[in-house]
Amino acid sequence: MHLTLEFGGGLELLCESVKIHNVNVDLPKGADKLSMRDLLAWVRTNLIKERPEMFMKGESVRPGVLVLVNDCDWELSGQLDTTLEEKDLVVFISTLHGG
Amino acid sequence: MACNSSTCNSSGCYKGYEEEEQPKPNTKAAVNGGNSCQNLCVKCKVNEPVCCGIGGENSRFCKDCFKNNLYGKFKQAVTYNAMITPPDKVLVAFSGGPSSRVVLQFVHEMQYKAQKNYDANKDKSLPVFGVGVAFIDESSTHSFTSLHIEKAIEDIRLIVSNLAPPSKELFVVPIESIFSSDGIDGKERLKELLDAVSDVTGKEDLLIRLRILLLQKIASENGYTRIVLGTCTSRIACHVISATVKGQGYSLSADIQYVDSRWEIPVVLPLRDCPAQELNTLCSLDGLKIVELLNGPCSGINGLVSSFVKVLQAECYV
Repeated sequence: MHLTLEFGGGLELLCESVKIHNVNVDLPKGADKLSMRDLLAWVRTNLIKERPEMFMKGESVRPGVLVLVNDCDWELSGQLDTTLEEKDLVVFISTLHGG
Repeated sequence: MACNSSTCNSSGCYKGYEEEEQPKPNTKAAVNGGNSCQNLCVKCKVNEPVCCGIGGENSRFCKDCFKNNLYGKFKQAVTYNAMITPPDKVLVAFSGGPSSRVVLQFVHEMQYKAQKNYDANKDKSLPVFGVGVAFIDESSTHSFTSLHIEKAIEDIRLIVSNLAPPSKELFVVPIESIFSSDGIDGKERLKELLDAVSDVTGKEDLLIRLRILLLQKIASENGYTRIVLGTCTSRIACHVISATVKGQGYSLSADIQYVDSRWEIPVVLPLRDCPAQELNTLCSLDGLKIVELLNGPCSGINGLVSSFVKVLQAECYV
């Protein structure tokens, strides 16, 4: 599944300072849908190059990380259970840094 | 025109750049597989919500109402505390980050509306307040490449020049000009000063102090009557904890007021009621450009407290 992932607020530093990633994520074995839970695990394995604890805590994102799926807060679409579709845009923003 | 919602309580709805008649039927809510279709924006009850404010269940807004709500909080803080009055010249401290980007945007919106009213009025009795922007270049204390900092400054110039009319003067001032002498000497003196502090937290706090002193200097030398900071609720929360931990209790209550009059040029905090995640969401939704010069996570007390406050917030929802 082709997705666009964006990292902001300092999270890009964990992905070799690349803010925008166009990725192709395989569905987990036997599944017919891709959830945010699956995507996060994929991101941790494939995109996060250092200090994974700054991005994730357990199977979700670290407190202070805002997640928007197609400009919509993931709290409204089921958080980890949010299902993703082809060409979706997922934005991760760390709000730990002030401004 | 008034927002249609009967629960609208913002003191003057934020209309945005185009004066829209009605909230448009929402186009981009992503509700894949979720069951939130029966939920509507808590304010207008027309559109599907796309954002969660800090109130969780009770603050699901559509984009327009979310923006209105945030601008409403800003406007209320400004009005109730008389932060900006017609004869004022306000200096907005712009770090490039999301909070200061939002405060800059909102101050501009306010000034723009005041200008339109002034132009439309035959009786020109109330002048429009002036706005200037200050960016402190701290590259001498960090290890950014000069290309990096030059690009950042260029981006900032572009952001400020696009926030016109009315046009705003931009001051790009290196942190070392806090010392009266300039150039190399200032850099050396700054380095000496920072090296004299051995702990990370001490260095960070010293820099914070130097920043505000420099802002005072810029404001006073250029006739500004107020300094506007983008300090948000989250930062205030962190400050309450970190100041307590550092034994700074005496000054704490004055540190977190809407208006800090201890300085020659009063410092105002119009975003004091806005949490960081809402400001970040607004920047993302509205495409407000942010210029980030980040040095990696803070390892001192301030960084620890910031993470702690986030954990507390996350656990509130459980």
